[in-house]
Amino acid sequence: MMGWAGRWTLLVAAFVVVLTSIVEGLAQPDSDGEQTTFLVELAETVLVFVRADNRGRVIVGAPLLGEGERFVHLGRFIIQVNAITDYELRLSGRLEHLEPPPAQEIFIDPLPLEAKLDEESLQGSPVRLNYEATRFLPVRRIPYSYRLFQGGNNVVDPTRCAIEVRLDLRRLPSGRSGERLRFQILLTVIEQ
Amino acid sequence: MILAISSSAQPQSFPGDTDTDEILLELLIFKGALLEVTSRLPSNLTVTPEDAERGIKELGELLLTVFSLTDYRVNIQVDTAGLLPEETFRAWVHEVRGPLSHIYAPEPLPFPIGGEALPLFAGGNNAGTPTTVTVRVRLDLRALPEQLPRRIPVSFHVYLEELSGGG
Repeated sequence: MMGWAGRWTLLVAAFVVVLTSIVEGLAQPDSDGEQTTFLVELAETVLVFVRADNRGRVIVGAPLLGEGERFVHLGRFIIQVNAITDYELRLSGRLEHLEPPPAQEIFIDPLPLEAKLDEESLQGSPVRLNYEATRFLPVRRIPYSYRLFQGGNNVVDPTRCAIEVRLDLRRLPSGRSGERLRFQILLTVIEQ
Repeated sequence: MILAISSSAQPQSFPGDTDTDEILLELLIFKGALLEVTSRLPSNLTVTPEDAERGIKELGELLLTVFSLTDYRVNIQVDTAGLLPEETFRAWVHEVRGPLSHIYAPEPLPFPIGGEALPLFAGGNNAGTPTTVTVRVRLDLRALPEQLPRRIPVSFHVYLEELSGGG
């Protein structure tokens, strides 16, 4: 038989255990959490576009040529590249005979077209220029191309540059009066 | 000029992302070739006894300049109002500066009977380097008929004919 003294001792011991566990529990900081997972996918890492007008129509004829005029200026076009990765910008082209019918591609390489980068016009994030492309170079027919410049992430300040395009009449395939041709200049930016 | 027959160019493929924009330029050739005659024959010519002895009468030179983006041929015709047979006249290419593809009349050739054209030379695109050709014309006195009027109006017509493209 347990006396009152024994019962009190047991009660006090139980109280001490409960009190100790409460104090220990209060000493631990509370925590809670949930996990959220993101999947970042870079679907479009590089973009190139020709700002403003990217179409032109030029009428040429022998009476305009005069002596020694071999090249006809076709225009100046501003290109912009936006990239979040390393990239290079390449230039190539296609030539099509439209009229008289039938319309068909003309397979000559290089094309009777020349282009050059205007180094002075470079704006935005710096790039590594292909200095050969700062002089007029014959435009290659796709799939051939040549590099204009290389760069990296330029989200803060996209790179802009002008290219000048001229027609080399001497290399124009012999056709007839009334013939209509279409040049397609392709600017391709490639992630590296 | 090489024209497509069946295939088309395949775009390059790259392991990373790519993007392309384009510039489209259309070109219309509104007049592909131009011929300029920059010298004339004398307006009056007199056949002298010395000419008769030599058997020929030199009529002079025509200086022709061609600016062309297309294939072409230059011809000459003579009009004698029916007073002289055309074949008594001869023409030939004497001097050439600039590109040409063919000379039809490297030596004095009679004009065809019936007023047909005598082809002189042919060429193609010569942008940047105009072609200048000197053409000489003469009258073959030995081929003249016996009875002649005292005055004979003669005119020469030089013209450029554009040929079909694709060559």
